[in-house]
Order: sequence, then structure tokens, then C-alpha cells
Amino acid sequence: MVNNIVKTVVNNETPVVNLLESPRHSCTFGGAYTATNAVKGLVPILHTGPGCGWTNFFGLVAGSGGGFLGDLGAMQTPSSSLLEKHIVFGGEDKLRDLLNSTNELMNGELFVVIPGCIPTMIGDDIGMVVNEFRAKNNTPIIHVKTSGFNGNSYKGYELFLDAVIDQLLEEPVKVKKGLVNIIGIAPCQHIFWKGDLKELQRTLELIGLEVNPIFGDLKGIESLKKIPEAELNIVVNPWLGKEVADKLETKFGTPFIVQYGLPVGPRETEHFVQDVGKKLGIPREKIDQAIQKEIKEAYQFYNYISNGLYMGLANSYFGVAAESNIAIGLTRFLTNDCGMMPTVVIITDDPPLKNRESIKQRLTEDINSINKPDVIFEIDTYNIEKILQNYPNLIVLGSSMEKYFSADKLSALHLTVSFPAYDRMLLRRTYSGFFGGINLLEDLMGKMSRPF
Amino acid sequence: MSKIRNIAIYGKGGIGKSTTSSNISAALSEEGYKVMQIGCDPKSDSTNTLRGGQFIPTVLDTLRSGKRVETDEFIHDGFNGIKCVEAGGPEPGVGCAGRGIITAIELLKQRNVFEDYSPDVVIYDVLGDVVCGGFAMPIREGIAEQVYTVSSSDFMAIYAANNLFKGILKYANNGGALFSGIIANSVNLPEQQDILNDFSKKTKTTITEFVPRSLTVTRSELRGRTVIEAEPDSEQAGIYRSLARKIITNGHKYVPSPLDVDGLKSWAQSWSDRLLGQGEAPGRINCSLEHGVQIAEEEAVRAR
Ligand SMILES: Nc1ncnc2c1ncn2[C@@H]1O[C@H](COP(=O)(O)OP(=O)(O)O)[C@@H](O)[C@H]1O
Ligand SMILES: [Mg+2]
Repeated sequence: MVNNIVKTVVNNETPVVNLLESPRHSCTFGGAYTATNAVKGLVPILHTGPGCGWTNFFGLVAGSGGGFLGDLGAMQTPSSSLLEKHIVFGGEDKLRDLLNSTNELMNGELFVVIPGCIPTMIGDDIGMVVNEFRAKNNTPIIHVKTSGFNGNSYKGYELFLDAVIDQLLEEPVKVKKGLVNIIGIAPCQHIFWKGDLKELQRTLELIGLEVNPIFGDLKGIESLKKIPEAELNIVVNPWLGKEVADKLETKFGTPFIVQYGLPVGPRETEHFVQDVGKKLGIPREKIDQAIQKEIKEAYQFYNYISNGLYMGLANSYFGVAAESNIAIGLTRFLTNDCGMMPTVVIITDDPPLKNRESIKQRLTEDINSINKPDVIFEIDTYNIEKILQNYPNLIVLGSSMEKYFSADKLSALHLTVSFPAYDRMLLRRTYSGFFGGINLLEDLMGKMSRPF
Repeated sequence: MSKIRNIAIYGKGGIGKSTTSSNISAALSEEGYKVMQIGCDPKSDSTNTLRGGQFIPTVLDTLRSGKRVETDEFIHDGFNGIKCVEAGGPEPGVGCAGRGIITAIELLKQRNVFEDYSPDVVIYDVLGDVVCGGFAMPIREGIAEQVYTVSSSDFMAIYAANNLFKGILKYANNGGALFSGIIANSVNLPEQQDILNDFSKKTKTTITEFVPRSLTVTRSELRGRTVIEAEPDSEQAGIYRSLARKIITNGHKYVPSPLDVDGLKSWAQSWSDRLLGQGEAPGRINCSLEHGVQIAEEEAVRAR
């Protein structure tokens, strides 16, 4: 175990982590690769050394409670598998060959070239090769400006959307009334992405909207092409995807709203739906009516669990180590709706410094608890454990990396809610929406051990 | 097998490394040494004057073609039986020349070239400012034991030499090569000698030889020959012979003391003040030394 993590602060601003134990993310390359796989019909074409694709695919897919992803993931993915001679002489010819053979062998709606560290370090002109291919072929093609080392997998998700916006989407577009995009939920890094996107889509459809989740549905390239037609972009994340939404606003004039954290349970979800409705000019009463049944039903389920909740877990101290949007969603629900007491919230997705204050606010303001949680931004697993040890938690919501530590060192009940999730299979599971809180309580209380 | 003398010669592009290396090789071969010269520059022209101006297939060509290539396809006999090798490299603007040097040297080792040909002396003619790890390859991992640098009194050349010193300093504790001397090239005027003498004093280094700029070199080069071959009785040939003898007998190697950026800047400034103070600046001396620091730094950054 590494126990002397060295951290330095430059200009009191940018914390530079010199050493990181068990990071909870991969690189831009991995983020863009999984994002590509999460849109049906897209063909990821990796331009990198052998091994990058494999490790990233299984690192991110297995770490997010999934078994496989996309039609062309893992062994099916074309890769230039660059060798020493390509490093010395350049890898452009290899990429050219790879694009041509992929075109012969594979049917796809969109080729997505994703470069890793090697070609960008030696300066391959990937844009030129891609443009050449585009000029000669009918298959649409884009290239994502990843290079592995230029950021983490969250950035990779944003870079994928950047490439789509810059190289695929065209103006002018006719705005389609009632169409909205959901942004800010990165496939795989957000372990509940499949279920959450479905549930948010269903929730917003209740008020008559047409929802484009972009990732995870069956529409393929159409879901990308539809992006600029939206009347509104909804960023369901306090930071991730904001710049994408900004870019869409600049390029297509699409306004956006930011939902600061996943809406978990009837209270937050109602706020969320009303906020969206307000922005789109849908009358409040109409929305009330549309969601009335859902809310009633959700509370009915609370009745089933209420005795267990108040006898078993009333006023429990809990700590969270999760990505910003999951941490906010779960903390607010367990505190405001279930009467639990948050001790510490550790944010593990390394949000930009400029977004940290608003994340903190969402976790400490408008919180119905006698204690406010400490909010700490930390991505190092050893440090996360150290921090958790300082609090008397009965419950720890974290990644599966906190599982044994929580049991052995803290004697706390542990549930995996953030990346990586090696101890869960997550397909349609969701904690967002009107019934998301019920799902959370189900999972949480199912963890309690009983003598019989 | 007796121990091979491995010598690396560094310096900025166009400063005269290949000219000097080839003349040293030629002079040593005349003295009966078995010499191998390895050009570590993607230009691949290090050994041209040893081979009548002819280019030869490079070590990296074997990698490029992907075919199994025998060592004698990239090791060619030059003047007086000198074994000529060119590492080769990518076209300008593509790939990674630095990695090319590493790959080429590893390939030579893998193919047992040094055992099979058992030269007495191997001269590595290496491009560069030591801009990246690849160009530092010959001075680390026990490849060359002694390093020389070719430098004129121009600031850019001195800047490159100083960078080389930094590279040597860095690897010195890990069995890397040590420094053995500056080969002052194209130095004809006393002021130019003064500048280089002062630089070597400041960096605690030695100057092995002053080689003047000479038309003999140009004439020989145009005939695809070294001076030793083309004009063996010239004064310049005598200078190269003297240099070669010094190099082969000089076992002295040490760690230089490179100047830091500010040190180099103020040193250049002091020289520029001195030269300007003399009124009319002597011809062919770059008086804007202090601007040189900045330009050289920018160039180095761009090269990376
Ligand atoms: N002492 C010298 N006198 C005249 N010309 C020289 C001298 N040294 C080098 N040159 C010329 O300078 C040019 C560059 O030399 P070269 O050895 O190819 O440099 P490098 O190998 O450092 O790039 C050549 O045309 C060469 O003839
Ligand atoms: Mg040369």
C-alpha cells in the first residue's frame, strides 16, 4: 500500500497529484472509445498501440457492472496496433490501410477514429488521413482529438461529443418542438448510465417531451444527427457536459439547463421536471397533472418500507464517495427524504476547480439535517479510505473498492454506487427518477444482515 | 576481442560533425585502426565522404521494409576499409527520429554487429541538441564512453554544446558516457578562440583542437572525399590527423559543468558587451549573443 502520497499545490490553485493510488477513471482514449460503443451502429477505429483498446474496454465496461458494450467492442474493434516501425516512420500509412480495410469488411453508420498516446506523441496527421478518406468514400467519418495523456475518461466523453459537433453536425437546422437532449452522463464512468438514461427519458416523456438520450438507445447515428434539433439541452451533471452544452448553444443556439446532481426520489424529480417544463414554457398545472400518479405511487412504496427504514436506519450516519452527480443525488435523497445524516461526501470525479463551489453548495445548502456533510474532493483511493476512517459512518456509499475496507475497518454497511462497480451487475438499475429512491432503499436494506 | 573504443560526437545540425567524424575515421584508419562510423542522424549522410559521396541503405530501412535484412546490407566498406553505417530515420515531419536512433542502435546490438566486425574504434556521429531521450541514447546505457562536441563560436552551437553537457551530467551517475572535449570547428579568428576558451573555462571542460574553416574541406567534399583522402598533404589534413591522434590517446573523461539558462544568458551578454565595446565587431562573429539565448530556446521548444 502506498502511504506517502505526495501532493503539491501550485499557485494555491491547481493541485498536482504526483502519485495516484487506484484511480477511478481511465484516459481520454478510453472515454471516447466507450462513448462510441454506446451509440449503436458506430464503428470505433483505434489508432494506437496494441493493448490500449483491450484494457480500456474491459477496464471501463467491467468496472461499470456491465458485460459487454456495443456491436464492435473489444475483439471486434479495428485497431492499428502500432509497432516500433510506426513510431519511427509515422503511423499515417497504417491508419490509411486500416480505414480502407475496415471499410471493406465492416458496415457502419459512422466511423470514429480514436487516437491513443503514440500517434499524437509522434505527430501523426490524423486529420489529414481522415479527410482523405472522407473525400473518397461515402461512409461518414470523424476523428476524436484524444491522445490518451490529454485527460481522463470524462474528458474523453466530452471530446467525443466535440468531434460529433465539429465534424458531423450541420447547420442550419430546424428546431423540433419538445425535443430535448440529455448530456452529462458518461457511458461506463457513470455506472448507472444505461438505467439512468432510460429512466430520465421515461420521466421527461411523462410531460410530453421527446427525449434524445444520445447514448444507449437503438437509433444509432440518428440520435447524433438529432442533437442540433433539440429545443433544450439538459445537463444532468454539475460539471460534466457543460462545455458541450455551451458549444451547442454557440453553434446551434440551443439553450441549456443544468441539473445539479441526479434527481433521486419524488421530491427532487418533481423539481427537476418542473425546472425543465418552466424553461420550455409548459404550464405548471399541466406538469402536476402528468406526474401526479407517479408521485402517489412512489410514496405508496415508501409506505411499504417506512417501518423498516425508521426502525433499522433512522438517523444513520452515512458517508459517500462518488462522482459529483451521483453523490449529490443520493445525499440529498437520503437526507431530505429518509432522515439520515451525512457526515462526509467525497467527490471522486475530479471536477474542474471552477465548478467545485456549486457542487459544495448543492451538498450543504437546503439540506434537512442537523449536520452538514464535509465535502472533500479526492480521487486517490488510499486517501479516500483515510478520510472515511475519520467519520462514524453506519453506511458507506462508494465504489466496490471501499467494500472490504468498510466491512473490516468501519463495520459499516456498504453499497456500491460509483465507479468501479466490480460487485454488481448493472443493466436497467437506476436510482434516478420518482422510483429511483425506492430502488436505492431496496438495495441498501437488502444489505442488512439478519440473524435468521 | 580487445575492448572497443566507443566515441560519440555531438553538435548542432550543420556544424561540421560528419565532416570532422569522417576525417577522424579516415586518419585513424591510416594509422591501422579498424574503424566503424555510425551516423545517427536521419539525414543519413554521415559517411558520404568516406564513400565517394554515395548514400547507403540505412539500418532503419530494414525495419521499414519489414523484410529480414542481413547485416552486410547496411554495413558498407568505405575509405581504407572503414565500416560505414547509417542509422537512418523518418522523413522530415513524420514519425519520431529520436526513437529511430534508439531502435537502430538496439538493432545493431541484437545483430551482434560489434562482435562480428570487432572494430577497434566506433565513432557515433550524433545530431542534435539532445532535444529528446532518443538523441541521448548513445550517451547512456554504456554505448559510448567518451563524448566530444563540435562547436563553433556561434551562440547556437554553444547553446547546443551546453545542452549536451546537461545531458551528460544527467546520465553520469548511471553509467552514462563522460565528456572528453570540445572540437572547435570553423574557428579562425582570435576572438572566436577567446569565446570558446572562455566557455570551456566556465563549464570546466577542455578544448581538444581548433579546426579552422578551410576551402580544402569544401573542395574535398565536392569530390565526395574526406580531406585525408582527397588532399592528404594539405595543412587541414595535418590538423585532422593531429585531432585523431589526440582522440585515440586521450583517455581523460569527466563530468562537465553546464551553465544554467540565466548563467548562459549573462555569459553571452558579457561577450556581446565586450565585442561591441571593441567598436567594429570582428567579421563572422555573431554579436547579438544575448538575443541568441532567446532564439535558441524558442528553437529548442519548437524542436520538441
Ligand atoms: N572546417 C570546415 N571548413 C569548411 N567547411 C566546413 C568545415 N566544417 C564543416 N564544413 C562544411 O559545413 C557543412 C556542414 O558540415 P557537416 O559535417 O555536414 O555538418 P553536420 O554533420 O554537423 O550536420 C558541409 O558543407 C561542410 O563541408
Ligand atoms: Mg551530419
